[in-house]
Amino acid sequence: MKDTLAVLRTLFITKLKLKMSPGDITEDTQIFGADGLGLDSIDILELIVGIKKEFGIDISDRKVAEKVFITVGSVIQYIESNT
Amino acid sequence: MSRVVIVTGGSKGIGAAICRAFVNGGDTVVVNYSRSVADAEALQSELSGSKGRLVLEQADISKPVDVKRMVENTLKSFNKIDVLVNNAGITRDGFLMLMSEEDWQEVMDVNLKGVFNCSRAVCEHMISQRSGVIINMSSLSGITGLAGQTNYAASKGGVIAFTRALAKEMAPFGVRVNAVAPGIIETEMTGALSDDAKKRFLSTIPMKRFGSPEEVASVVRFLSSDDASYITGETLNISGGLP
Repeated sequence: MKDTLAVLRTLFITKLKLKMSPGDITEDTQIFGADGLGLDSIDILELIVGIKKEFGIDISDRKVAEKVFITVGSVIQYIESNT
Repeated sequence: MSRVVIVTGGSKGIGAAICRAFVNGGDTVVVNYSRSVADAEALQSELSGSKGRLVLEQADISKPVDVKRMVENTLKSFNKIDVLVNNAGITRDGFLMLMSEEDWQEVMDVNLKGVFNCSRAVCEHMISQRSGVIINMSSLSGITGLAGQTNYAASKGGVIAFTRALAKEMAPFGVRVNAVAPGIIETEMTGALSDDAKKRFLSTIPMKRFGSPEEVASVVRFLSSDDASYITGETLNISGGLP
């Protein structure tokens, strides 16, 4: 089984070009906001495409996305409960 | 002479400002609302004692049967319809990848099909009258497009094209059809923006301020008047210099 956190770290750093080291990204890290990953809503679309490619999980509903993309941990929880 | 003006979605925001402009000018306004009866009644109370008058008509403009009833009631009460302002509109913003069919369809049903329903319902009467003005509410978003508003932009872009086509159909009967495309206007919606978002929007506007609902209302009133007697098929931007 994939290490979900490791895969997400790679997505954030390579696809979204975040200037962070993997160790800085933990389950508690916020998705939005300067104190977190600092992503914006356009970045989320890129992330959704990456999650579909890596995990085969489709996130195509705005209300679901609003609940999933809060912290790295909430993203991991959604992925692992839908795999 | 006092005109009879139907304003859809007229109970708040830009619609309410349009109603005020016409009522204060001495016209009779039929303010259509879908759900916000409290706002409509408050507006009616505010404008009692004004030069003109305001009557209320509940109708869901996405439903032809509601629109038919609204137009029939107006004709029964006043015997004519001089101006239709297709102002009612909704947003269901979101990126296309995350947009449900319901969010797409609801916006189309109110913003574009509502314009179709109401215009079609009044056309026959305006043709018999050999006079009338239809003014449609488009948006800057319908001209430039805005990320997160594919549904809204498509509906408002459609309103512009609809306006051009209907203007050509109705011109032989002395009926003018125009649209307005407001930019960023001070309403409840823009009031809820964060300070950062407001600053970002303001920096893009040549006039460096948001517009007011009253500024939109005065253009709508101008287009309804004889001062605009040779204008039809046009869309007027009310957007402080954008795009």
